[in-house]
Amino acid sequence: MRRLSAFALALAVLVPALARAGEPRAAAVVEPAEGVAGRGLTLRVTITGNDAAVIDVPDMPDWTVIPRGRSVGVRGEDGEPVAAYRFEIVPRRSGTLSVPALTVETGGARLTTSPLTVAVRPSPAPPRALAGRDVFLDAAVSRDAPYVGEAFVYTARLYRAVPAAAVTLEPPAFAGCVVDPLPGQRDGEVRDGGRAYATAEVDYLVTPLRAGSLRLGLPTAKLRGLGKAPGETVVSGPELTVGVRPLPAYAGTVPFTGLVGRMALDARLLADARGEAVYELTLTGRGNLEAAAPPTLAAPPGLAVRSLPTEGEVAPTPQGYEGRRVFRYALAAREAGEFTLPAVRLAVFDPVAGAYGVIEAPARSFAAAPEPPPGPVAPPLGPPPVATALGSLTESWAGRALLALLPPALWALALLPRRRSRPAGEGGRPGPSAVAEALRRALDRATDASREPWPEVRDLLARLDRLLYSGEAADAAALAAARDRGLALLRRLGP
Amino acid sequence: MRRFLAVLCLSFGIFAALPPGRAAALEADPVAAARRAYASGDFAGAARAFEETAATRPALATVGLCLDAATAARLAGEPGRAAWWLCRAVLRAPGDAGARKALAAAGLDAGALFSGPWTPLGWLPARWWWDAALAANAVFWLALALGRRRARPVPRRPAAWAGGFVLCLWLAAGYASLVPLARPRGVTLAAVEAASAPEAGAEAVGRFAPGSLVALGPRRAGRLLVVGPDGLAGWVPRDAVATMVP
Repeated sequence: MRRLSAFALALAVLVPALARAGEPRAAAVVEPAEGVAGRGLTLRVTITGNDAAVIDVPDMPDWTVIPRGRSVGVRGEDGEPVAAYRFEIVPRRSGTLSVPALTVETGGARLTTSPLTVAVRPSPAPPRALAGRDVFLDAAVSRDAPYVGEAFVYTARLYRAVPAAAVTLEPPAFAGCVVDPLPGQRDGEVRDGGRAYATAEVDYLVTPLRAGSLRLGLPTAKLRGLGKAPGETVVSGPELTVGVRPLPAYAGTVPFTGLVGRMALDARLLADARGEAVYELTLTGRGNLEAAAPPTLAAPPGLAVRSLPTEGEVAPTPQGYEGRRVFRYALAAREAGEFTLPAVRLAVFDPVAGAYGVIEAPARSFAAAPEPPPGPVAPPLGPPPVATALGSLTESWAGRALLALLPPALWALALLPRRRSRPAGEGGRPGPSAVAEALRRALDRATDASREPWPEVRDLLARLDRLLYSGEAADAAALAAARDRGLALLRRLGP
Repeated sequence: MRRFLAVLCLSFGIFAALPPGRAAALEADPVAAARRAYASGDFAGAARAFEETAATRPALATVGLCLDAATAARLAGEPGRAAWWLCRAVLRAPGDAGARKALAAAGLDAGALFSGPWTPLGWLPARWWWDAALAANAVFWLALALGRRRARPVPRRPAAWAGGFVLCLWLAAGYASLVPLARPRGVTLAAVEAASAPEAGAEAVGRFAPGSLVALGPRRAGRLLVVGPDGLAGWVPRDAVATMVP
């Protein structure tokens, strides 16, 4: 009887659980958890199962709801199908606003999500200096006194009362910081002094690396086609100073490697029976995860530890860097046996609490079998590659340009006019044809060709023409004599 | 004299453009370092050295080097990187039987590699278009120069046809070089989940196996939109994808 009761009790517990495993489930979440009036948030409704769903969104007077589509995928190692419906919800006022429970109909079932609350801050008031200006660039930081390694948001905000063709916002240099732009530009509209201003905001996640006064230089905005102004208009914003606080002195025994934020540490063994296992330490949370160095493992005797490449993904968000880093270690046992890797502890500074805390990954044990026989021999490589000079030329852009331009250059050289060959003179003296041409030019310039010595010049010119151009075999001695006589005449005529 | 100086300058330009120390170009020191690392069992180091060699000396990135690098990457436990090298080898020499065999042995489809706008004729890689364009260009201009030099009249119609042919080859080479920039593709280096949005915590829409050939889309917040051959689209970490080099 007692056994029957236990069986009935087990049935009562297990059957509903098994039934729930196949039933569709719906959950809603708002991201991020805090917002600003007038700025959109994401309401994500996640529904398991393959069936299409109809979501009944009730009247939400505090919100403007814009459907943003549906994406389908799988989740988890068992590949559970999941559909995510996204809505952009824009708070109409500040305060603690509620998102009511949503009714979801899918696969013949009627589901209800849990109601949510969201803290909404009022939108920032226009700065006083905006009054009377057409364009104004403002800047602000989310924290005035962050700690070293604590990320804060730098916001550049452009107010514009006149239209512009193109706007480019450039942040300051951020010297001594790690900076990542946050995705998305927020556009809006404010009224000040009876004028409507279009606003554009760009955020940067800034992590200071040094304590002290951090000067954030001038942000600039370049606007083209602003109103009726020709060319480009450059507007500068204010210079900000942030007092970066040093981390308080650390006196704990757990190693502190500069981690700042709120994090958790976990450990697992991926393979634990073949002599070599992979030990994984996963650091998750929010903070300067990228600065985390692989923790040093205190390996027990007989166990060799080798670091593997670190994996993970860390993304900048308005709340800071979020994600995970996975430190992997290959473990090789020199002999078979049971090994226990002790718990790993790391000290983390929590900037919100202003104090150090300790995160811990639990100890893990594994049984190592004797070292397996060596694996297959690596296959031999092929012959080493050989690069020819021509191949190197055709593989580089400079070489291609050279080879492409060389043939047309040679063709262009062939286009150059050829210099006519002149009958060579002797000993640097002009030849007969040059003498003839000089005499001809002198005769052309003569004012009275009937007086001496022009008849003699005319006779000599006729003789030279006959000797040079008649086509008969010229007597070299007669040609030389005519040239010498011509030179003598030219000397007489003067320059 | 002037012509002589011009030819001298051109010759000097060719000489200067040759790889440093002509004889050194024929050696393969970085390759030797990679092969030494491979022989000593440091497969990851060998894969890295092969990659550096291909990046710094593109002329040495032959099919053989790509296959060697793929072997080193596979033995180093990087199947995605090995697939990337195999794809590169086949793209470099589509007719190479060894490269195609290695690609098929890795379970990759050569047909997918040559589909799409990357190769205008489906099988001619960009390198071949460049070689053809350079050779035709040289023959065309040198023939014109020779005709001019010998004062032989060049027939206008054949010259126009030849010029048009050379221009077409140039356009094809330019297309084959620019398309990989305009329509980039890549290979996933590891098994990676594709998210529905480039935001932390976005839902997963699917999973890419290591070595998947994907089309690359815009980049945002350290993530990349990729589209797989089966139409699966999602955002993956930028480091999880290696961009394909034609």
